[in-house]
Amino acid sequence: MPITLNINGKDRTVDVPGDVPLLWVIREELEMTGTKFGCGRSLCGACTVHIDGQATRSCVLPVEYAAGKAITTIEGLAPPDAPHALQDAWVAENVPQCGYCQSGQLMSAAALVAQNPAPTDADIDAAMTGNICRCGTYPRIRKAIHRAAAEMRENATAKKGLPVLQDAPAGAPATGASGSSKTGGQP
Amino acid sequence: MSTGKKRGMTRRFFVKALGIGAAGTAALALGGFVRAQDEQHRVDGPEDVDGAFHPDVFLTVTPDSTILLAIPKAEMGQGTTTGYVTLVAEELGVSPGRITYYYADGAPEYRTMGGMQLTGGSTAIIEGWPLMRKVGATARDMLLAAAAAVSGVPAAKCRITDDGITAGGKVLTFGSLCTEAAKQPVPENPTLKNAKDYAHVGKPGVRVDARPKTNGTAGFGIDVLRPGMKKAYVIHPPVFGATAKSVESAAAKAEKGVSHVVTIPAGVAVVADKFWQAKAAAQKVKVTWTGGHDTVSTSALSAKYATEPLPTDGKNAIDEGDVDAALAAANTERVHTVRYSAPYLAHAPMEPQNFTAHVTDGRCELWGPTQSPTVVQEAAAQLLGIERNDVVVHTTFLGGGFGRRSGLDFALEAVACSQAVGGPVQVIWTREHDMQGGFYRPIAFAEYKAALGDGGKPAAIDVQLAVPPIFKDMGGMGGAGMPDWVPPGLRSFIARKLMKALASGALIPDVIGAEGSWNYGGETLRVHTAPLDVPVPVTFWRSVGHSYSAFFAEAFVDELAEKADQDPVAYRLALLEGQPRAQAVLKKAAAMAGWRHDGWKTPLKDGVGRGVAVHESFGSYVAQVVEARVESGSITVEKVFCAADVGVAVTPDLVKAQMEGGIIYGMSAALMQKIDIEAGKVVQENFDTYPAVRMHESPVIDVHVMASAEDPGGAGEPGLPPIAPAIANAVYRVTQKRLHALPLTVG
Repeated sequence: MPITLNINGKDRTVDVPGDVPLLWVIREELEMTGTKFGCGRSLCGACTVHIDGQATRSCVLPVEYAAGKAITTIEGLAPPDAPHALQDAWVAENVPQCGYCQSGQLMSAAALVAQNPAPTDADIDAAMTGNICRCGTYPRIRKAIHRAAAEMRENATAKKGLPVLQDAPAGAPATGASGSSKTGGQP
Repeated sequence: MSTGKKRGMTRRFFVKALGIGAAGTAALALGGFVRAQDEQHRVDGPEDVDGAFHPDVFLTVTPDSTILLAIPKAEMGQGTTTGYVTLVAEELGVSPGRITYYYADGAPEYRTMGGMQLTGGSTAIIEGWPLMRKVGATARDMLLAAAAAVSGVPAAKCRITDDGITAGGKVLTFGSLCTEAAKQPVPENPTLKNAKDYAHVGKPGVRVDARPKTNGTAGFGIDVLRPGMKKAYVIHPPVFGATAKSVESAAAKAEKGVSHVVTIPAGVAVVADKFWQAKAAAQKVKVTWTGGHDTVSTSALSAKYATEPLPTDGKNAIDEGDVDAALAAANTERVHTVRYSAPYLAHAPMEPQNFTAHVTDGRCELWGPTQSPTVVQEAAAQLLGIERNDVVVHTTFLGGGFGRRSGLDFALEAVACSQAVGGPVQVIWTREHDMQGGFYRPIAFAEYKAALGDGGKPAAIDVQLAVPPIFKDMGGMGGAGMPDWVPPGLRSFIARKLMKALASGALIPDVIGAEGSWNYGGETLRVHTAPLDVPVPVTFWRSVGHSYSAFFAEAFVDELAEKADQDPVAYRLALLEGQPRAQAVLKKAAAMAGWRHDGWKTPLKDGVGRGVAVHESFGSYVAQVVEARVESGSITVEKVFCAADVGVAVTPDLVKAQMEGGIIYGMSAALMQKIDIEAGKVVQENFDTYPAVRMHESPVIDVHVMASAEDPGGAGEPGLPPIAPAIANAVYRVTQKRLHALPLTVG
């Protein structure tokens, strides 16, 4: 059954049964692997995307319910040459360890700061409790959210550019493994 | 593209070295031990660039001035990639970001650890400290010599920067020096930098893999996409050891996208174009299973060893003085005995197990999240009946490892599927597969007994352990660790026999299972360990034996301190005489927490208690003070103060992150996790029944990394062992009840 999805601003048509979870459509039909599979039962948050700006667990959302809505995945959070303040804060604070949960963490955090420019620790607890991190990066996630939210507020009021944050330059390979996930080839 | 390049020591070379000549070779050939092809099948890697300079198997400088580093370790979040890049960059003289890293493909020259390319035991930085500095320094010396040869400026007056080598006012790019550098002699022992000159080692810095892990581009095993690749959902038996007797697959095969339903050693594989198709179709497959271990009961085991004597037919891992005599001579009220237990634990990394394999004629290429390409190569080769070095393994990022990805089971499923379907196949496990698939941290039972002597110090310590030994499931690793020249059949035979003997306890005590049982030493000390024979697969779990032994030991010593009516910190410091590094972290953690040496008996405030633990593991020393609240039948860890001595901290902020991570991983186990098995079936299946600490439960963690000039110790695991006992000891302050079993529960 052909279904048209609006993903990161682009219309994509897939031909799958309507009850296939959005997660697998994203990962397998569209080959966008930034959104992760962790539990299949909306218990872990690794699959978090935005549906019309709301953080949503895509592993339990039948794809037909996502049709006609604006879907944002981690790939569409921000352009590569203009990262989201959260992504810069994640790098500056050395948030990721294995990194597998971080797409979901960032999507949940992005929905939070979009709706709440000055989240408290309690707000962060509530927004982020659905995202499990087995590497234990929670303290740094919290710090990075506060940091990014502060920068976004400063940016909004003072219209200054984002401060330059030290991170790995563009030369480092994206995967560190045999090339990009799309080709499985060499870097 | 395969190049069939010769690598390392070939069997032909070995035959020559033996001097057995043509007759001997013929004899071996007749015996079927010498195979026709002794070169390793390879696929081109990033290092295969025409005209590149290869000072060794790790570093490559390309004609376009890219500096490539093959990392012979897996990145599972512990930051080894950044550590290795930093060490090479430091000695070479460039910034870490100037180096492009990739993961070594399993070729024999990367088998740097026990004959294997293996990441585990918190050893990567310990191994990398000499190795990677030498790699950097070697390349530096050869490039400088090349610059000198090309420019006429003495090497000592040439300077390396990110842009190249400045020689007499001119900048020579690295790429332009490749040919000349390759002509230079390889220095045997290049000079290494003085610590005081470090620009990167020991400094704050950002991990080199951070950015891709924030924008969805970091590639994990589950993200691998190969042309023509199919996906497989493998139906596992309901109990360990059962096999498929009959399979009804017609309905599944009729589903769109499904191409095969095939029995493999691990179960029944449903192969389809997409995983969502395979998973859905698998629900329509009916399997009749036969055999298997359907009487395993963890509740029965726990009930048995709550009161029954622990087995005495094992071996002593430590045996100093005459413990029996000391105990017999002691007054009974001066003898303190406690029984402890810890459950089976799953690893539950965020990325479920998966692997991708492509079996072709006599060869196999694999992609996936593995802690050991060699283990995977060995397993694939044995299954396929091909040479180990004809198996190429590409290691992706690991979405968490924690020891589980040193296994071969999930990779072997992919190999078996690919062999069956004749094309590339990716096997993905669901979370249920992952939590119920075995290879757990072993269940452990212990009895600790101490006779208290003068000043309340333990005059004699007697530890009895009963643990299923990890040795029993290490056959694959045993074979993987043997050299190439041992024929495959013999490797497998020896490994199985050896591991079986080690597991039986007949040869040596289970030193892995007993590690960390009592780090305080003593003249009258015995640690006896008996192997439990339980048919549940077990393996390394973050900090291994220390994951339960530190709980046992630090909970017990806390009770001894109380019996002696002494401050738990002071009591431990006295026992740690002769262990200054352990004393130092304990003092530091206590100071960080503001430990009240005169007021330690009372709770910190209403409902909140403080507990302490100190433990050495993997060459590092860690002490923690926990503030935990107990109310309404639940334990809340509010704060953790942690002092860690890891020797030289190459990447201090990443060491800190490992301590934070070890604490939270250990806390999940301490408070929430257990794997129950009843009638052979694993009870827990997903994050509802096997939970993990979440953001709102995450404590404030304050970590201090001690300054040290000692050689590095590990960082990935040492932060974990102290957390469970520190929590238990904190809870005691509030409840006046000692907790002797994990996970910890109150009320």
